[in-house]
Amino acid sequence: MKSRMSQFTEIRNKLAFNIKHGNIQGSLEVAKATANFVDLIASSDGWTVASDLLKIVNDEGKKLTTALPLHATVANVLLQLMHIIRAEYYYAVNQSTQAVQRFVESCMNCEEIQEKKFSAQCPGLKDAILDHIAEYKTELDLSVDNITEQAAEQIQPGEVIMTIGRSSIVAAFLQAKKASEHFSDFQVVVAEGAPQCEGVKMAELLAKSKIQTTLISDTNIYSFMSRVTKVILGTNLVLRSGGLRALPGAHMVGLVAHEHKVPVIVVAPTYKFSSMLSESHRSDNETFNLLANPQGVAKFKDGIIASNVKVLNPMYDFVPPDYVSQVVSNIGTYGVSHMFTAINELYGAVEESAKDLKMAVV
Amino acid sequence: MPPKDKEILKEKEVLQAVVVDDLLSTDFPFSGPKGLLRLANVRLLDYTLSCLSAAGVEQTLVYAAQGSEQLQEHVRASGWGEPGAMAVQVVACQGSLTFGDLMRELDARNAIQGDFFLLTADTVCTADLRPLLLRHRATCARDKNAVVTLAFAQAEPQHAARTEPKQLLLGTAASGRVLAHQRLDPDARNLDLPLDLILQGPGVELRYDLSDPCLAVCSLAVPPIFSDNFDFQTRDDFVRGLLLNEDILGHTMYAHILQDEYASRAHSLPSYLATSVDVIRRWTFPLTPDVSLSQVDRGYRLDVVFNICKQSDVSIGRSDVEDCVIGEGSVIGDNCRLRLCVIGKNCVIHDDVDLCGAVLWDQCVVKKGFKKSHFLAPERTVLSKNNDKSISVKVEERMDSVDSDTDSSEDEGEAADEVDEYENFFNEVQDSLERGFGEKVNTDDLVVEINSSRFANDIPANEVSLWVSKVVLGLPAALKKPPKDVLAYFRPILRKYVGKASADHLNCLLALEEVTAEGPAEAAKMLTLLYQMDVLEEDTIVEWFEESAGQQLRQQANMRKFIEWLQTAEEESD
Repeated sequence: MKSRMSQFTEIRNKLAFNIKHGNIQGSLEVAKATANFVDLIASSDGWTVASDLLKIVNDEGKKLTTALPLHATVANVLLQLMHIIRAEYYYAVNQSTQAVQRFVESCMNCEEIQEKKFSAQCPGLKDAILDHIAEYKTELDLSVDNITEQAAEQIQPGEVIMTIGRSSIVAAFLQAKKASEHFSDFQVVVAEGAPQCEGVKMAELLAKSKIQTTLISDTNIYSFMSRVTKVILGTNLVLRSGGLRALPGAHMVGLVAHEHKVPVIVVAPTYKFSSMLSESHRSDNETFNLLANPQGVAKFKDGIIASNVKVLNPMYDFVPPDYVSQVVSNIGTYGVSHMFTAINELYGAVEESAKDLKMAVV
Repeated sequence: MPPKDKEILKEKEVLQAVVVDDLLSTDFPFSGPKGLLRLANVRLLDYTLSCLSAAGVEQTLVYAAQGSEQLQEHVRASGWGEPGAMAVQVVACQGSLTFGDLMRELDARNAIQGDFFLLTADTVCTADLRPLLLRHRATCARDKNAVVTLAFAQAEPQHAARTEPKQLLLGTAASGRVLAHQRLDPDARNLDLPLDLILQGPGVELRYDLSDPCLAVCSLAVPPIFSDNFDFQTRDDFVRGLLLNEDILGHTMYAHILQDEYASRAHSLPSYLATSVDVIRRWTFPLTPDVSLSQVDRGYRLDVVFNICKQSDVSIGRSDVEDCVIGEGSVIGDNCRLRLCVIGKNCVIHDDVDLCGAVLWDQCVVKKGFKKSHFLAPERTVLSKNNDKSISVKVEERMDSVDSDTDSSEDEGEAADEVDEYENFFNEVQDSLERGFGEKVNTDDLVVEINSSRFANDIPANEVSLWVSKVVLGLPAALKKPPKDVLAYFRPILRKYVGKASADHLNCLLALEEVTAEGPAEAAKMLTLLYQMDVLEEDTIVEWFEESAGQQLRQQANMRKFIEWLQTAEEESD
């Protein structure tokens, strides 16, 4: 039986352990740690041609995502880096920018990709790949700053902004705006985001930065929306269609905002862009939603409930692209209809990236 | 040597856990070790190891009473114990079968370095164990005699998770120290508690709402305790032994109640089925087949809408399937209704099957039209209406069980209660009157007893006469005394309850008929007595005889004679 172990096993297990136990906190740190892991693999001597490297990254990546099923960022970073490796290979083989352009265009047409076996020897490929990965890592480091720079244009004085739950990037976004112009006064309404109720922590964070904050329960979202000028949401994933996979309650916020003609801005760095197409259009391998522990909603010790009642506690909500106006990311602000193209540039065509990792992008 | 070197030489403390894989209960049709028993299609050992690795345990020792090679193979194939992750070591213990024996092996091998988690292979726990460890360490710092912190999960009485017949009563002091630990017999009516339990100061708690998942944090001192006491076989022996010998040996135990976290055991068939249902209902998330139960992706994906957790290659026909775990290659036909089921790999379920709370292991076949709930079918069983080799478990009826829609089950429940109440009343009154006759108790007092019984059992006024008559008229046979004496003694009671209303008289006559159903000859005698005692009147008797008395009585010669005599008497008095 083929051994599961390789030279990277120990490092991979330690990485999984650190992420699981909160030693590496926050999606940005997780993204950086994953990028470092791929960097390590690419710098090692275990590969000579691109197909070898892709295979190793695929294998290790698959085991890593199995150990960390609830961290979508890990899968995203792995797939994005695999696309980078392919792009660099194509460039190295063809040595012309036109070829790369065609490569990007051919992402729409995956037959071209199929033909490429990635097995030609290319001197200098390793260095090119390592450089590109280093660029990617720098981009990650600068992602928060690149996003918060855009806060000044996105938020006008006197605005009333609604958000739901807790998102560190949205908090940073709002704090940056508060810090930028002394007299820019805007208010924030935070919906608590039951049953996790992380909105409470978000309200604390914002209040510490002296932002005028109101905390409301999810049931009051409709009644408050008439006073809101903008909705700013964090998200777990941005899908290719421009829809979102966000915390429960986000769909409701989007729906109500849509009805009140309030624009919905999503703040998401590129490592939250997912290669999943949409909630309803995805491969059988990809899991969109999960039923999490009902303890958040009802208590197990209550015998009547535990034995007789089905208690549902879904992990995520799907927000359709119709409810989203713009996505603010570290590579710029996109209208929702441009998300498909933007994500294609990160991952390649749908068919191409679907074969990678053959896993549930949870 | 300078002190610096000494520091370097000090070994880094490794967080350890010991999983005791003792003998599996014989209820299970499974010959392998306990850790390899499948719960919701995933081996029990995987649940335990996942829970431990989530707590940051660095080394787990699995002490196996049997099947250690199989366990070792499973550990290797599932990717446990890789470098960088938690180390898993399976220790084979020949000849050690019980929990106690395995702990003695542990002591003999001297493998423990400090505080360690102690679980059995059938413990399923989603709780974060780190607070438990911190609490244990804090306790040990405060109380030098503390050796173990036991963890308990909360489950109120009537909870489905409480499958043991004998439930736990735990007494704790304010500090968490265990003062009493008893398994209560469900039929027992008395409870014995040591007096000094109450004298321990404020904050003593007596809890009956706990379940025991066999999870604890132990200190280094625990394995030697097992070696010193050879009669400690089960974990309960250990707990009780420590409590009893607290004065002598000075060891103390503490209890930690898990808040809002799930922990249970799957050691007996009822608890196994209950835990299966908990896994299906997601109470054990993230320890569910589709999320994080091992290092290898099993391929389970969850259909959120219907809560079906299935592997690839499962085909479901036009059926109503909800809340199930289905293994790969299984086929489900049309028109089935499956609820809360675990179906193994490559099973075939034909059309029109109705299952609830069932666990089918690999390669079972369920024939068309089979209906059953709450059972376990071992591998390769063929289940059909005529040939049912599954192992049933008695479980309280759930709302969605097979063969009961909620309305009918409610009615049945009520009807059952009504019958019980009357029976209760009958029995209580019978007891009172029998005793009353024996001790020659004043009939007024007996009336008080009958009345209180009547109100306690909520007997409607129009039926009291029927039941009291039944008792009284049945007494001569029960007491083996001549009816004359008995009825004479209880005359005041009869007169009070049978009274003047004709409905009551009819009731009395009905009772007479019932009581003498087996010996109709007696009926005339008793009827005569009743008439002579002025309990019943001629008109009523005659009317009853002509209209509503049963065939048997009418054919009785004595009865006819008596009725004739009555009629002539009537004429005379008229």
